[in-house]
Amino acid sequence: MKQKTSYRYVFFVFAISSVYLLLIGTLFWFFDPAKFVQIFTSDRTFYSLKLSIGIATVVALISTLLAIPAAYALSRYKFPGKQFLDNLLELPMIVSPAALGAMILLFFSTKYGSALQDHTTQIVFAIGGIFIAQLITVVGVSVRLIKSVMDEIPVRYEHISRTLGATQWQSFRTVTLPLAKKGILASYIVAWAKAVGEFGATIMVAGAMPLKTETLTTSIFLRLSSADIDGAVIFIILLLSIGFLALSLFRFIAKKSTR
Amino acid sequence: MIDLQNIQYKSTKGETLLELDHQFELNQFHVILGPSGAGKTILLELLAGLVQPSQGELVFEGTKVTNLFPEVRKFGYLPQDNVLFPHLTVRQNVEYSLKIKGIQNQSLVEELANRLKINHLLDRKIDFLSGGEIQRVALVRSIVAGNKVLLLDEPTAALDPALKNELCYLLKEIRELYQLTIIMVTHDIEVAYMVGDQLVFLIDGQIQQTTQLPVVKFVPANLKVAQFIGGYNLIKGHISAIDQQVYFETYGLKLLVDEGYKSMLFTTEITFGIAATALNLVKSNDDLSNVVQGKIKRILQKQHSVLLFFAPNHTNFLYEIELNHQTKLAAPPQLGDEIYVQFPVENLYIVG
Repeated sequence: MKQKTSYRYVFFVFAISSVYLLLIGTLFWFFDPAKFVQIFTSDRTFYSLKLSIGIATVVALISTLLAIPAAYALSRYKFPGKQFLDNLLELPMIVSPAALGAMILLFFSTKYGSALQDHTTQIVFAIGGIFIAQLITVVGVSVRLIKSVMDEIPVRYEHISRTLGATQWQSFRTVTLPLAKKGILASYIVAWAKAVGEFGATIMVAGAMPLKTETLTTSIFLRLSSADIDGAVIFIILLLSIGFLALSLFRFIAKKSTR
Repeated sequence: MIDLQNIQYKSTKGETLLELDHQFELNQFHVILGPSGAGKTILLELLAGLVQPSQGELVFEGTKVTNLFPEVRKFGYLPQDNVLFPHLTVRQNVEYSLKIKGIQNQSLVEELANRLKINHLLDRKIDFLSGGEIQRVALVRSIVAGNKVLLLDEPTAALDPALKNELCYLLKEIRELYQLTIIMVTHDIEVAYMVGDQLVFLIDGQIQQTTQLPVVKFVPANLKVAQFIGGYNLIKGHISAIDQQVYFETYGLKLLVDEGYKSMLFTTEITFGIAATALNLVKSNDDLSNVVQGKIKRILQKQHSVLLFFAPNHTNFLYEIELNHQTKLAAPPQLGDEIYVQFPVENLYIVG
């Protein structure tokens, strides 16, 4: 039975949404179409876009691949320290990204961090820094999202597959993974969108050097810093479009998975 | 033989949920009966290798299998719900084990699909299968996997009566045809009698009674079994003896019982049980022992019988009498009727 709409509650939906609409509307107040074409087709913008999307794609992929076994373990098993580790994975969600970035920066300023950089690649104020900052910020979210997907899959299916001759790995590969497929894809999209929009940790670790470590979010910061309002607006619109696109894709997959 | 040797299963809080020592003969249909929370499902999971016992050994055909993985143990398990893989079609479900092992056995799939009447469902998705169809597909899948022992958890629970009978028939048929050992959990006594070769009453984590079927007269071994199966008048009282006659005295009644119960003379409180179907309506108390006069307090109609609740005169204790619709009566019993009820000596047992 459909419930009768109570507009007293609906009012709050409109009130909150109107704040966001007002903010989005403000962007068009400063929007200059001529400048949009000029900035959008510049090498610097193309570099930032390429850097943001490229790194976010890799970060979301690695984060998802790392999160799948971790989320499965958290969802299925009891082991010593589980509660503590589960809480620790919430770190990126409870600590400000700037603080998280500062923590990464501090680590790489220790002799172990320096040694790690010497033997691998430059992290601090380099592209590697963007990658590390985004991965650390996003991987906890991926684990959380994929764990909730795994929790929804009854362990019974794995039990049955084992009694039908499947090993633990075969059971995971042929039953759990296919059932979690859509949820994992949706979590990949969320991880990707979060990585694209990451700013605090990225600027702390990688800095904001044009045509080197300048991502879409740092572009907004740099342009606002130099009072280039029109430029900043264009990047905000770009990020908003990417965000809404990711959200629509997420909703579409979520809807398909519940059918 | 499946030998459960001093098996104990404790919860994470250390509470003992299962404690048993029992042997299941192969090529038989064993039915585990018990109320909710009795440990029936844990027993099946223990047998399947999905949970490990806290102590004890599980021996299958002379080999210890306690620590073997479920895929090696090969006991097919059909849980109560989430039976079929939802991302696969019926055929893919049935052929799951074959695909895992990379083998083909189309002839067995076709034979079983025909026998269990699922051949017309093979290319369907599982979303629109009925409860009975789901159980039949799961059975085929488990037999195709080569499992010789099937562990069934309440397969008839969600089925209407007609489908229940049909599934029971199929279960009996495939058990005999494929020489399977079936261990089925249920709380439905009627289903248990239909399919079982042996009934195992599991209550409070312990086996209370085992009964080989067919049984001429079922006698509950103890109060827990009598309470679980229902349909019994359970009467608390004590034994008394006058001359060579032994009596059971309760709520103002004095019933003659088997003289073997004389040994219980000094037991302060014992419980006797008599099946509601074992009580007889008689015309008067002339020439008969154990006839009690009382009034009908309530009448409940059942599909094949009628339940009379009667209170002996000068007591408030209600006794349940179940009369088959075929029982010849002078007139149908009415509420408030004064009746004579006989408690046959041979049907009075101590249950606790």
